[in-house]
Amino acid sequence: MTGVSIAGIGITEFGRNPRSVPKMAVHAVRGALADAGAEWSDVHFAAGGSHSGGHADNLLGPLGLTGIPFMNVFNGCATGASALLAASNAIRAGEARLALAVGFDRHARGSFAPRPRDRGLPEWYGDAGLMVTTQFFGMKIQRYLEQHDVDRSVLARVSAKAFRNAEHNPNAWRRTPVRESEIAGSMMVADPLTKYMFCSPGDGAVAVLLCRADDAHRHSSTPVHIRSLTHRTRRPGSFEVFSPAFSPVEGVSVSADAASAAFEAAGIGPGDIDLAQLQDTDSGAEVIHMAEVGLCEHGEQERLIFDGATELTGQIPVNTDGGCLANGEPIGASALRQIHESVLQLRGTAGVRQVRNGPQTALNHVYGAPGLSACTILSR
Amino acid sequence: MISDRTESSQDWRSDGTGVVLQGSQCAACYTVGFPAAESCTGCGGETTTAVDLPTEGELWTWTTQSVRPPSPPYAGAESAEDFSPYLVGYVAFESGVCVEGRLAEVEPGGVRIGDRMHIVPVEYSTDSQGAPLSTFAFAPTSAEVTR
Repeated sequence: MTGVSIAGIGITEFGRNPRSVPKMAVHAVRGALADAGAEWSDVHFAAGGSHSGGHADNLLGPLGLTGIPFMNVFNGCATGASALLAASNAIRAGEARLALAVGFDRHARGSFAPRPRDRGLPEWYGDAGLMVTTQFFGMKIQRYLEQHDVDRSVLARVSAKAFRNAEHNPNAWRRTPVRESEIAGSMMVADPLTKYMFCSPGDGAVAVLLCRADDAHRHSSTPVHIRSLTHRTRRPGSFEVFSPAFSPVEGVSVSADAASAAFEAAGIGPGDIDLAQLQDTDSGAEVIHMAEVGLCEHGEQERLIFDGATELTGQIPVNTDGGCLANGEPIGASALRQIHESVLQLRGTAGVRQVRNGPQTALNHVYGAPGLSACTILSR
Repeated sequence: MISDRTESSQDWRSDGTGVVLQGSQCAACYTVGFPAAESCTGCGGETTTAVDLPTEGELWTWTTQSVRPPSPPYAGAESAEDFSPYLVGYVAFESGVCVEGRLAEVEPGGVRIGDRMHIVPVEYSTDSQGAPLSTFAFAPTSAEVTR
């Protein structure tokens, strides 16, 4: 079976984008086509998804009705990763030489307003004010900090890093550095997480074109390859958002499952990773995910973060483009934003925020409701 | 006045001294679920029986809700200005199941993971017609026991 490589990448500005949603997405696709040196008519398979931005296959109108199969996908925060998986499988199966994965979104201001019946939950759960995603993130890190003796000061440090990294990312939303004292002192949203420790729903679109590995040099002088791409859903005992009740099993984590499968499929270990993009819906999630994906032991984060290990100049830079904390969370787009950033870093074209010494391998991790995770390992 | 939302109370009942949560237990692997379900999330078993959850457990984790949640789904009709912040948490019961609920009779600084909690009824708001909205909540069992 053929390997799969990145042929091209395209992105829009994140945050509040003045373009209409379809125009944002088309802009990202055309960016990816230009990057790959390809035409729309060269693309023979597409997959895409959006939470609030309409059906992804509406893009076929403005891009051109070439008759190709277009798979609409939705998988929460892993939507972009699911589009990537579908496109990757089309290449592997020999159904296309060039396949598109696209993700985009636009969300109203403020937090999401989910409906219990969409999740198979009783109405009283929503009525009583329990169906709020921020509560889950607050409760998960609250227990984690106590259980693993991690000081809550790491939370402001993680957010401050995100805004610092984003200062050098022209597509990021929040590009002004914020002092840790201001982050820690901002409004408490879900104890111990304050306002500046949460990402905000926003706009964004990203497109990634995939090709056969033996075609990669036709599209890029510094090709980046997909080493592995894994999706997992929750097992019993995993603590997940929107759970009226569950029976905890220590150590069970869907992110850990997805990451270990990705490492096994790639034939490498966490020690081989040069940089990582980790789901950072909130700064606590980045802290927890560092250990869940295997980049460190549980409880080791405080030392690593205060030693600067996850900074651009550290031994394992995390969320080099500012992550969701600084780019916002357009649900359909975030997973592919990670891929976009890792490709720039591996090509050595990330500009001021370029990780030094020629990174070779990047881990990309998303996590979303109702308990799913996708991990993608890319390498030069 | 009975709100149209009381249909949900089939998941718990008041027994005079407190509130009893009504869950289900898998006949094959004994995993307890709440609310009661026809199949087991632990093993997929298709035979479950009704079971009352214990009325006391330990606080497993907690957090705060400092602003009015998006409505819908939140049913309280109060304005953002009139909103009263509350705490939520999970309480772990002896069977191993953790149940999520509001916390009652606590302040953010006065609650700790591991505290003994029991289940109480609370009126958390009123609906748009002014009828009280009620649910179950977890309250500290006693100061002596929790410290």
